[in-house]
Amino acid sequence: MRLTRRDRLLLFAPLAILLGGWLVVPALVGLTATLTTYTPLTTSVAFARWQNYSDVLHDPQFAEAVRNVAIFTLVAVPLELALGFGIAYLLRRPIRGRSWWRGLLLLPWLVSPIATGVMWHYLFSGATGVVNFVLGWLGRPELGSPIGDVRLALATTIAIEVWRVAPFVTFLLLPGLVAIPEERWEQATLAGTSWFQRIVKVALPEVAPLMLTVGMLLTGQSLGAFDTILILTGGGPGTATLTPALYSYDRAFVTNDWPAGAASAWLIAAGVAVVGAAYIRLSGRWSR
Amino acid sequence: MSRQLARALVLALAAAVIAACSNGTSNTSSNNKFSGVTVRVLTFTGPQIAEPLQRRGPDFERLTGAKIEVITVPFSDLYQKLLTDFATKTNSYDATVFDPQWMGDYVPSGYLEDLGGRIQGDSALQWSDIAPFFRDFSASFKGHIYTIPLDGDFQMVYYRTDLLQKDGLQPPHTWDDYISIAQHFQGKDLNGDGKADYGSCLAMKRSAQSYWMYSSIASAFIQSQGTKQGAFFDTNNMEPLYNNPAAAKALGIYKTLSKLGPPDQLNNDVGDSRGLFVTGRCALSLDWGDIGPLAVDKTQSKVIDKVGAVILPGSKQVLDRSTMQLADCNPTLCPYATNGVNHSPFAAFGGWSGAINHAASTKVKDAAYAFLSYMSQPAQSRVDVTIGKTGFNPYRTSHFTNMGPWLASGMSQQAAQNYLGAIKDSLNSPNMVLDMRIPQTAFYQQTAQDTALAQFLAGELSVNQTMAQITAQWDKKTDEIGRQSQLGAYKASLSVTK
Repeated sequence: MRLTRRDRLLLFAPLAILLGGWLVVPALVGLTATLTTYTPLTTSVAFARWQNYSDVLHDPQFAEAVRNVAIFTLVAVPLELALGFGIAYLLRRPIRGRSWWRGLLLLPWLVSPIATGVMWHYLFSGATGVVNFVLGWLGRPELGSPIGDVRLALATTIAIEVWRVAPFVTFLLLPGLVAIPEERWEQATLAGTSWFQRIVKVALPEVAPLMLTVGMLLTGQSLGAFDTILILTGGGPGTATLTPALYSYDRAFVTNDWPAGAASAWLIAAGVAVVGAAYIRLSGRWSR
Repeated sequence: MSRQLARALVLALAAAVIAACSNGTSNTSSNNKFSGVTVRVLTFTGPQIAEPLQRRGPDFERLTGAKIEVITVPFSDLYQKLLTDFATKTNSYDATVFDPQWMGDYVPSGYLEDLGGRIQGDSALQWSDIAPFFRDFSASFKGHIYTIPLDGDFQMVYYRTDLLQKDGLQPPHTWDDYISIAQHFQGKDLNGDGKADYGSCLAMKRSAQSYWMYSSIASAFIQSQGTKQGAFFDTNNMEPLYNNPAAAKALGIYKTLSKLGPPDQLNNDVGDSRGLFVTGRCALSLDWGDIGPLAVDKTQSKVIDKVGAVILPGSKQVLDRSTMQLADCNPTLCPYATNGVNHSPFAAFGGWSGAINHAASTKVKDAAYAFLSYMSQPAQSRVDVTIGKTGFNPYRTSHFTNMGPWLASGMSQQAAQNYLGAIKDSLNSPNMVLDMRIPQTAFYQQTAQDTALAQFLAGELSVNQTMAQITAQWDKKTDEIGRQSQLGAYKASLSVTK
């Protein structure tokens, strides 16, 4: 049965209405607000042109936030992909309790980012955390919490993000690796290839398109990093773990400066859009 | 004569009718008076503050028939949630238990109900029993009453009586004393578990309570001429008072204290610092009244009857506003000093208070008022202020004079007198520092001040850069809103009749 133009429009309408009402319209209202001086506390609203964007872009805090999220993304995403792939590679062969392991891998991802933040806050807490309890039990001196140390805070948030996301990457890549026919592995082994060459020549080509998609998703997610960091450090110490999303939240919901909050949010959206465009370009090349 | 008699009779009758109506407003014991009415109360995710409301809601329903629905959101969302609800006229909430500092934003917009008339006719509330400071500051805005206080908030210093006594030390009178006591105990085992403990535990985490802690220190150096002098802005021109040698001195103390506590102190909020103190890991702490009841909570405290409290430490040097330099205290410069030490107790936050949405229906407003009154009435509040998990601290005169509930909560007579004495010293001080309560207070404190302090503690900003950053951001916001209107609001917030 061939679908007519009318059928297509009818099928698409519910989604269009949902997206239009709950995504496009609010987004456009938000975009308009970024060009005004609107706040819920004032009755008069003036046209501000690009002033809100200029204020945000000239704010050293926002620059710090961009720097932090760039480091966060550049370190966390490759680590998540590498670790996720590595674990999937190890689990590709039938092993005892594989389905159990796969379920277990999903656990960190299933825990909400807020709960993850609370959990690691208490695990690391210098005086009451489990890590120091174990150290004390072993007769070792207490350590300060790394999230309270300006030199270690960002690295620690990256490590926690990798802990949360890498098993999920494994979960996504594992079916692709399991699906590689056994003969391919055997041929590679007979050809005398090393384990590294088997990864490069057999495994990676099979899962590369999926890895690209997952990588782009993770990049978008990292650029918007918010929940766990809010609970874990609140962006501190100092500005050590401040991200653009935290900055935007602070401006909109703490300071009540809605236009600046929305402007910074649109800047994040622009960053994610650039990544999305790169993905489309790369995947287009791949398919050719 | 008969006309006069008739007039007198009419007046007496009118008075009786008014009295009957008034009693009706406050009478929470008449069954089903508010049957079928639901009051939606918004406050912050507990257990503090929400707990007593949730616990006493069903009791109130049995008494009056009104159903109390307590809705909670994280503290960081509460201000915005209320504001959005009011501004968009959604009116999802009939009443709120909130930070009275926000009245500066909510009252001018007409979002809150004036409670003056209801309070006047409510004998059960015993309004005059509420300490004058809370009636005038937490409850009032520009001469009108908008809230019913449910909590009394001051920052105080807590110390371990056993440790100081053992080492022959006195509780801190000045911030220099505080530092030397903290240095004395830093790294020593204070609770017998064989591990090194801490001299002082403070909440220094970004986006938490750090800015109140700093203001508690800075106030001693900045305000010396009484409450109306103000500790945040010059009342002549709205110039910030956080960029001068007094503010610099306080920053220096704050930085020193960041190193005389747990190694991760920069990531500790009050939940962490309270936990550390009541488990015996700190010699000193700076906090609201909550540590008093928590320290006698048998389920978590290891310092029962080992905790003392004193008014915030002071300074022998204060800011001379004519030269904007630090100068030694003298009777002119520090008229309220004790033994040459200027104390400026800081009423940080102001105490959780209940308010009613002006847009709610009259019946719901009556029920909401009756509930808030019920929560504050001595029969309920005298018990609630002795329970650590309520987050409510004493605020009525009777809370200080009626020792029964305190002794019943597990405090010894001496501990109760010491704890309440420290609060009374603060309450009675003519040099009390009022927390900021002007339009967009949230920006001044939670964004500008808090961020600069976090950067300073992390070593990203120097003392001078920190002061300059706070001042520049405060000035910018003041000019944006209007210097004269902000000055008017600030001065109005300081006009407290004690």
